[in-house]
Amino acid sequence: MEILKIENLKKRFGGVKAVDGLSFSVREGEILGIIGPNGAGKSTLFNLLCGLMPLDAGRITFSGEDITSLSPHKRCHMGIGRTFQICQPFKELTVLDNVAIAAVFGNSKTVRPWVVKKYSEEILEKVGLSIKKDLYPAHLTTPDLKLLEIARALATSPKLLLLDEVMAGLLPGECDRILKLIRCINREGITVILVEHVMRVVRELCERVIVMNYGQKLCEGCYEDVAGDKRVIEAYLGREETGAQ
Amino acid sequence: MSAGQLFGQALINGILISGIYALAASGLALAFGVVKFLNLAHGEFLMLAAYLGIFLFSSYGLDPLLMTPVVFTLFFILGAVYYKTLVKPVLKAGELNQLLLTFGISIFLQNLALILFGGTIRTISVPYRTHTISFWGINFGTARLLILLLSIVLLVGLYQVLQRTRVGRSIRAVSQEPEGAALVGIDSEAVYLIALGIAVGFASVAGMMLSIIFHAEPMVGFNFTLKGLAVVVMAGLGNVYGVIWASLILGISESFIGVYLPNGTGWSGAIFFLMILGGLIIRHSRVSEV
Amino acid sequence: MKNFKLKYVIVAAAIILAGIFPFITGEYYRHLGILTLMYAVLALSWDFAARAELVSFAHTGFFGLGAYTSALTFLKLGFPLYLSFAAAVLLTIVVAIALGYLTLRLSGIYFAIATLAFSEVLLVVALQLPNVTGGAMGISVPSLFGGMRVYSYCLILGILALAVVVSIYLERSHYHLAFSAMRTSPGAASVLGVNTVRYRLASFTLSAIFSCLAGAFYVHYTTTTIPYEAFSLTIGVASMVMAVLGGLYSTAGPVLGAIVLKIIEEYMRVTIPYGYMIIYGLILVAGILFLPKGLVGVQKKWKFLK
Repeated sequence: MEILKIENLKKRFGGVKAVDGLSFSVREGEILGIIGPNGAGKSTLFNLLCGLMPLDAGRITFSGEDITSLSPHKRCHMGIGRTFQICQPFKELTVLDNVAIAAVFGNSKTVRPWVVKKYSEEILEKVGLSIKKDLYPAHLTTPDLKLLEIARALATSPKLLLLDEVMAGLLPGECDRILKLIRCINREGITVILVEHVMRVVRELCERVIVMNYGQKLCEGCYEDVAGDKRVIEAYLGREETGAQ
Repeated sequence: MSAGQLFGQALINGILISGIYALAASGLALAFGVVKFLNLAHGEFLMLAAYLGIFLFSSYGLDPLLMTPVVFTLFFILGAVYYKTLVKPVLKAGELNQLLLTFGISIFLQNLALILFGGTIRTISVPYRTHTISFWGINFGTARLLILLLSIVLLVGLYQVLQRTRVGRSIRAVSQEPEGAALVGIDSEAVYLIALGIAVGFASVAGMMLSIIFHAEPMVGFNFTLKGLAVVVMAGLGNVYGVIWASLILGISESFIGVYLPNGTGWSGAIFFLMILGGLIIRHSRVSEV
Repeated sequence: MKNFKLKYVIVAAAIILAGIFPFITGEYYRHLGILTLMYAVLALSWDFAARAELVSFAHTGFFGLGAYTSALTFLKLGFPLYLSFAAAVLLTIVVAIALGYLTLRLSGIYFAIATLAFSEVLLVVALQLPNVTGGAMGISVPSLFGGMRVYSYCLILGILALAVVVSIYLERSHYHLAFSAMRTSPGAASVLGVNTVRYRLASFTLSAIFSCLAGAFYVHYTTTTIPYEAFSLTIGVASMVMAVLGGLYSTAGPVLGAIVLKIIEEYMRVTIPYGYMIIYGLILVAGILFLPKGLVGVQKKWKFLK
């Protein structure tokens, strides 16, 4: 069963084609990895998927419904959750309130006002931030901020979770912790799309990988297949240096 | 007066007034385009210069138009001081803080003028104020004609400076790509200072013109800030080159409404609102909120 | 715990003082008290919009719209007082939603410019329709409650109480989460399910309603107004400066700011009859320049009042 299908997606900024005729679909319950060199259009793709940017052309179908022109909060209510590559915590709010806002406004299943606190605490428990629930984001470390991003997205009860480089800037040990968390989230039935530069994470988590370059799909397959693909190596390293791996 | 002459007169009046709009607006556009600074106190410099023009003529008999080089220099320096003391500290503080600051300065200067000069409207009559030249039954006010010519000269001069000189190239570079300009060794600090100096200088020249064909009173400047904003918004914020045709549209449409609508001179004050709203909605809609 | 109790003592004292004020003072101070409360309503209403990060100059416009609609329906259509207030509020809601629909897609600075133009245009309309509005001559209505200031005081105190209740509700309910999130990162707020456009529109409309009520009260209280007064930018300026000085995004801040500034203004008005507004310019400039974090810094400094 496919949960998300995008057809011929296009977005340009001035003369730059950030996303150029991209099509793929995502099966329910899978973890899909999207990799590609910097500037390949991965973050733009996420912005188009969650509705933060209008697209120039194409069609996005989620759970069988056309969501191409829906606003971000409606997509959130339908079950698309996301994290930001550059963490965007709400500075004036505590960690608990950061999660509570997603529970109150973003959850399709109504979370009753009197259970919001308990519900948010459970989410923080799950990601392992409960002891820091009363702190302000300014006092959190980078890995904690990443966990907060994930916790907020989870509080909206997503069916599909878009993770934008959650591992960037983390130490290997910290990566393992988040890796486990993602696996756990996926086992609960949440489909995950992962934009990632840390190849180890992609290899361990993703059943299927899409490689993007210049806004287009370069190739698609399991990690081993795409990692060995000549075009992919060229895209990352340049044409002259094939075989450098 | 025939219908054709009436039409021609309205058109000419609109064109004649648009020079002053273009001069006032180009300063706003320059400050916004280069320094990324929206100066709501822009019109108050115009107002101060108008008072200066009246003072120079009534006390010393100096013609305001002949004094423009001196006044421009004076206000250029004032603009540079304004940049150093008030603008620079808030450049990093976010655009809404800039807006509130310059609005505060605007209120301050308006009321300062009210305290110093009182609320009465002041005018002077230079010898050529009421003189007109007629072609085909259409009157060209000599003063307005002179003012339009001076505006054209100044604007062409500004464009030449922007296009041909080293300073101009630096200004354009900073306005397009501040980081890139810094990388190739352009001192953005100096560019900001010059840009704001020119902006305030142009405002002062427009103010001198006001003293000749219009009047000085404490609120006169704010009106020009609003009209300047309308022009700048329609031209595309920060677009110095679009200012000319946008000013022409404002001047001509005000003039036509004044002539053809019953009690139209009053309504012409509402034109800039439509220009601002239309211009903003078409050009600056919130596309992405990231 | 000690602070907690002190806060309630202060609030209780303030309420009692506000209640007995008109009965223990003379006509002049009663008048001053009424104007202060009216400006407290305006400052709070400005803050309602600021909470959704809208720097609005439209409050002048809504104040004048409230004044004129209320006065005209009272005079020309023979509406009773309460219905004329209701009519003003109704029209304001329609106009605010229409204006909001057009301008709320504009980001910060452009929104501010558009609202500034809006207020100026209402002034032109009021001047240009003399058959309806009386043009530059303005309008006159019979005096409110037959000139009994005590009743007027109670009415405006009631309006302020309503604004305070709304403000406290917004602060205590989950809406404050949404507003706070929208101020920090509107993009993140929207992907977490906050309908940013709706909340902006709601806070803008709410803020317009209270400006309109203040305007409607003003015209009946002073019995006469002219376009240059009802649509004077000084109204918007004063409410903005009061909110900024007192501390944004709070209930106590704008109210306190209104009280302090009205006292300063009254003193200035006696010393410099023309140009006393200079104090608002000075405070705005000083506030932005000497509080390094701008408005946010002001808010932090006054946090103990929350």
